[in-house]
Amino acid sequence: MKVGLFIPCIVEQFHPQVGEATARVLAKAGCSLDYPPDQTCCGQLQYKTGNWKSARDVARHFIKVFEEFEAVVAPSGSCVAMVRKYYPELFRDDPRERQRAQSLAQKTFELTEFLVRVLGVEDLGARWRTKAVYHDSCQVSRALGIKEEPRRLLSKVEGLELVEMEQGEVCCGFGGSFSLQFPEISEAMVAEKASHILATGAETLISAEISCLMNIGGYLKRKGASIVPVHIAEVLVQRGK
Amino acid sequence: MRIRCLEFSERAKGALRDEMLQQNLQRIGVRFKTARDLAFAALEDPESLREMGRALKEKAIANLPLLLETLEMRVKEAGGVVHWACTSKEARNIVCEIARTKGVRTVVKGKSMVTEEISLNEALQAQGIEVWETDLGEFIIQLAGEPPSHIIGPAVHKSKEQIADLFAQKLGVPKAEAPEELTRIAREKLREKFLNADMGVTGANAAVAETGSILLLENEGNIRMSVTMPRILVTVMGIEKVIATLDDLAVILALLPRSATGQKLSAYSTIFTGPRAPGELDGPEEFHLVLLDNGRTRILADPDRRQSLFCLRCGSCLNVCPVYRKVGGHAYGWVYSGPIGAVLTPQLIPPRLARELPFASTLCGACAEVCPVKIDLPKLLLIMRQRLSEDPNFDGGVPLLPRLASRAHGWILTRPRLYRLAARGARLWSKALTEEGRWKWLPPPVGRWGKMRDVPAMQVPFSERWKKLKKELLGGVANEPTG
Amino acid sequence: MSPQAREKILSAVELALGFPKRDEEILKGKSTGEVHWLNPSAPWDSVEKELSALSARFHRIEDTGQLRDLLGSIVEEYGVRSALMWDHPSLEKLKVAQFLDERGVRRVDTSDPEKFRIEAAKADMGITAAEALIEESGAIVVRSSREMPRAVSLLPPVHVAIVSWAQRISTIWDIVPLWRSWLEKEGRLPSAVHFITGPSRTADIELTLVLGAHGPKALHVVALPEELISLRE
Repeated sequence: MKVGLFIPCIVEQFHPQVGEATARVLAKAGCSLDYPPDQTCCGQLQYKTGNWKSARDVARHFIKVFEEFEAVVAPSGSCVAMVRKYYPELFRDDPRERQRAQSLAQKTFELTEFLVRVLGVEDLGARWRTKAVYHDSCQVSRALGIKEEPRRLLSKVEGLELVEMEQGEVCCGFGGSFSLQFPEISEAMVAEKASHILATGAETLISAEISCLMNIGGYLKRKGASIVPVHIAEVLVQRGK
Repeated sequence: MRIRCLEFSERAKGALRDEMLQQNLQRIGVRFKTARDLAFAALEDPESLREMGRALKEKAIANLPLLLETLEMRVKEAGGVVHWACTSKEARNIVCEIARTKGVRTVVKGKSMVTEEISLNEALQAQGIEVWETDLGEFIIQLAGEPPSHIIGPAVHKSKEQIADLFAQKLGVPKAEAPEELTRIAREKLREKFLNADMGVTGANAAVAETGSILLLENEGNIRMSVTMPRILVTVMGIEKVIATLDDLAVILALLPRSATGQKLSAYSTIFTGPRAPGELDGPEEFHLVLLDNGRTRILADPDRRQSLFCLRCGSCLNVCPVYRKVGGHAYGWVYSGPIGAVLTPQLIPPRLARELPFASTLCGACAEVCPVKIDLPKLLLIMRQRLSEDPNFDGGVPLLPRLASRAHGWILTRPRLYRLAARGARLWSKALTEEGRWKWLPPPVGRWGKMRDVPAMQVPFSERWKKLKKELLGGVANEPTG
Repeated sequence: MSPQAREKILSAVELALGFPKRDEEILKGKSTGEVHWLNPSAPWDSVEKELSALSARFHRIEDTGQLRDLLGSIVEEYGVRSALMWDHPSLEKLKVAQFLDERGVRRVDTSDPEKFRIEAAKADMGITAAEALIEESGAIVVRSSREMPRAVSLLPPVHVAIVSWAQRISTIWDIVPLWRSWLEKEGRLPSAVHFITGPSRTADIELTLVLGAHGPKALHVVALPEELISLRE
């Protein structure tokens, strides 16, 4: 299957290794990959701050860049939710564009759901001896309904002991512009999330959403915690640690 | 109630510093969410019940003219009087006029958000009428002169010691301490009021058009008292609360208590129709229903926002909202708080006075998961953000600079070459500000992010690594950006 | 002022919805027909469980002898010296008034409508019948009339509700046909219908559960054989 790599802007600029891991995982799963270099961003920041005019421009560009692929895969729930749920809404009044948006929406996937549901692959031969806790990003678990897939993939990682945290369904407090507009509330939320995570005694924090990882991971690092935040793509390429 | 939504950030910060409030908000949130989940899990088909809830609300709203006229007809047939009020002011005047002409000196009230919305208490008090909030939590905060901090537990921010002091001070009773004792004191004090009040005032959980009946749910019995003892009863209700039939009423009875507190049924579910029947020994001699618009028809006119009117006021979205659990109800600055409050408030009051509220959310979606009538709250929050930012009819007063910055950022995102150039420039420039792989200083507004978190330095971007990676994986040739 | 407001609001609603067609069908009820009363001899465990969880007390008794003993123990337990009763055929048939007289429990005089509420507030115990008992929740359904004042199940600190074994329904959905049968027979619903699910309660003070906020602190639901009270025609 010809897959278009959709690399979120945060991954592009701050965590390119997650993009690399994503590509490696998909290649291992048998996909033929390409990375369209004209991609920039899904436009969710514009959309979620109410700037829909701008969001439409960004979306049009995105659709143009990706619509020729058989499938589009990204290591991010929020970006995929933007394309799947909100692109068709954005072009509600433009039938032609909406049609293009809907076609693209139908073939845009988050990484773990693509592996498990589309490719039927759960075991990527990964090995990592560690006690890990998985954080359900709201955008992955609620917006896209992806809860089981990451856990199934992690269950096949040799040596990985997966534990669950208390109140795992509660938001970590990032919410994009929310954390900038209401930093104190965001901090209180991430502090609570961090305490639940640390209470598990895990050495590794895994998530399928890079922005949550930056939020929680950044906070934990500032507090001097030794727990290592990693994206699930990075876990799936481990070959023995 | 006075509008203080623009104080959201300040009040939120204050709430975050209040340890007792934090503890209680957490406890109440977890307790009610757990209870709600258990109650729904015990149902044969929980999803189908929520679908029924949504369907009955869609039907009611879509047929509102017919239902309102039918409701009015049935209430009159049962001996009640129906009043219509376009605005808060009209509604206040109607109730005050009833009180004046009937020589009312004391009013007992059940907990009612709509009466807060129209600031009824102050208007009655200005006429020299004694108004007693009778729900225990409301009674407590009325004595304290504070607004409610939670829709179900208005006094959760107070400790029993604080309440004991309050009662001792305001009621002249010896300082008790156990909740049982404090409740007994309130029971005795309010019973005297119930038995002697001239008028009872309530809201309504629903009104059934088919029969002209009003539904009121409670656990304490204060609402039953208010609708049974005084000779006059006034019920104030938003026009969106009318439902079609008794079948729909059963759905509400199945949904509301489970969603609010995880109960199968509230301790008392009262369905009354008109005043007392001739010859009855108790029940009001007169019943007045006040139907309130106050901006609801404007919400109705926008198909995208119409579902804001489905709300049952159950409070379940508050109970699960991670933001509400941190800031509590006072922060929202008006009657309605939590996710539905953030959606409704800028639609009921001048938007500019509540412009921050829809942005005070991470859009996590926990609310939509529990709403008994399946209101798509995250979608409404997004719509409100759009209206406030882009819709000239909405006059949101959202600050210009962030909007321009967002637009400029959006523009760059449609130009790949320029985007990559800008990113490269930022990365090179940022080298001076980063150390050991993280930023030492970040420009505002991003700087606030960096205050409490380590932010990783910018890296050589993925796009520049792809060529090499592709060769490694597939032995092919990568493309260069064209845009 | 009001007629203008009415027109303004109704036209605003019509305009907002794009002048929808009037569909009278939606006012027609769906649940009509027979009420599904549960078999009196079916197990009562779940009713017991529900009421217990609500801190209410459930008594399934077989005859009037047991009723007298039960009422006696309730009078004893709460130190009841005065009682308020419905003027109801079931309670008459069960000779509740006579029992109270024998035990020296003063029956509150409800003959003077002016003084009713003050007198009713003096009672230590209220005794009513009920229209139905909902198994799923343990709720009893009472309605109001001249002979069945609301205060009896509200003012006294102890409420005793007497139902027959044959008055059980399964869930809230089963109440709708009962409502409809009242509508059909009487042309309207009673002025008040109450679902009473356990005693009065509040958790407004530090989330601590306290019983008896404004309504009764204790609720006793008594179920006995149909023949003893023949509440239905």
